[in-house]
Amino acid sequence: MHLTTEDLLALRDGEGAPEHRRHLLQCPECARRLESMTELSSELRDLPALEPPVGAWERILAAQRRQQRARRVLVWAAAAAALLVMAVTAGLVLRPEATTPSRLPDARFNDIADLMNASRELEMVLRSPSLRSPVLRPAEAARIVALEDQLALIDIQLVTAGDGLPRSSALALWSDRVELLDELVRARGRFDGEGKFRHATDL
Amino acid sequence: MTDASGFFAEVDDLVLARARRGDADALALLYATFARPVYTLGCRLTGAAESGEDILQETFLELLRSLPSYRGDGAFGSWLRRIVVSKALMRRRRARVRSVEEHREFSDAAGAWTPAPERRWQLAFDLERALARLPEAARVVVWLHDVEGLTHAEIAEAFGRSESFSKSQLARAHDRLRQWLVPERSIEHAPDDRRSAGAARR
Repeated sequence: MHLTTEDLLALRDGEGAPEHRRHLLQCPECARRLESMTELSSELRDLPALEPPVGAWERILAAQRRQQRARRVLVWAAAAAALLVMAVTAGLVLRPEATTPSRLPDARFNDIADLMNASRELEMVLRSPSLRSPVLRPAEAARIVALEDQLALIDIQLVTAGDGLPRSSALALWSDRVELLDELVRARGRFDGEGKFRHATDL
Repeated sequence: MTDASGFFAEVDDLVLARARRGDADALALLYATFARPVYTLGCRLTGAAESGEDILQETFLELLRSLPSYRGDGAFGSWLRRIVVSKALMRRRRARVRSVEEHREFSDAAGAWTPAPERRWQLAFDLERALARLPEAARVVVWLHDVEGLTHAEIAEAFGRSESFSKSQLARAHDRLRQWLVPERSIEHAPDDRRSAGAARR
């Protein structure tokens, strides 16, 4: 009876039962199999290393930025939700007289519908291909991320409050939203597809 | 401990310290040093280049996330290799939920291609193909044990299984590779092969 593959591999690795070792000394076939197993392992080790795809590091860094942004938005969302719950509990949000807008709404816009339209238009501009070129400067990228985070925070407040939001607060939030989108367009607008400076009004 | 796949390249403490602080150049240097071993191991363990790139990305994302908490216990490459193995095994677990691959792994094992053991370059090519064709557990175990030098105890821990599982998978891998690469030899010990394969399935 010959040794099993497992027995032979144990012997190769310096383990194995003494009787197996004795068998190996008397059995040329098992000795030859053991030798071929050792050879096979050596050939596996000799297989060449593989070259990673070109641009993999850049893709990893881009994925990291996406993950960081998603995590930041989640943190903002959690914080905003917590603040909103506290505010509602304290009766601050649902009482118009107690709500102080962060600043006065833009005089160009008379009502929420105008602000919503302006929001939509700016979002369309942001979706245009010329504004989707990569941002090359770290400072610009950080500014864009910060603006997008603030935008996410406002969206969360608008969605969470829904119809229960007093008009003055809604006006302030929509006004802030328009202003942030405008800043985002201008931040992104600095680099078009050809790397040239272009102002949002020129787009 | 063998360094056949390059995980134990020397890493300067200063580079590590800078990388921990998020220094872009230091991180790029770590990538340049370890991208090949990580990608190679990812490809070998999964048997596919696409999965190898996924593992490369997942491993370096984990590195970027966890490096600040890396305390420097043991070799840096060893820490990194553990991440690769863990990512590969995680993919394997997810894939097993989706498919019944493990049940069909031996049914399609009869060779459909002709090996050419006399020619070394051909052997390397055949070996690559044969390795990729192994059942996943057997492929991971034979690579981790025979190339990366992990012990059966370490492999068993990574799989969450027993050492005898690791040993039987190693035997299974050797049986298959030998059968595919040197068919005439496999005939000589047919009864033992069956016994070993039976033990592996148990």
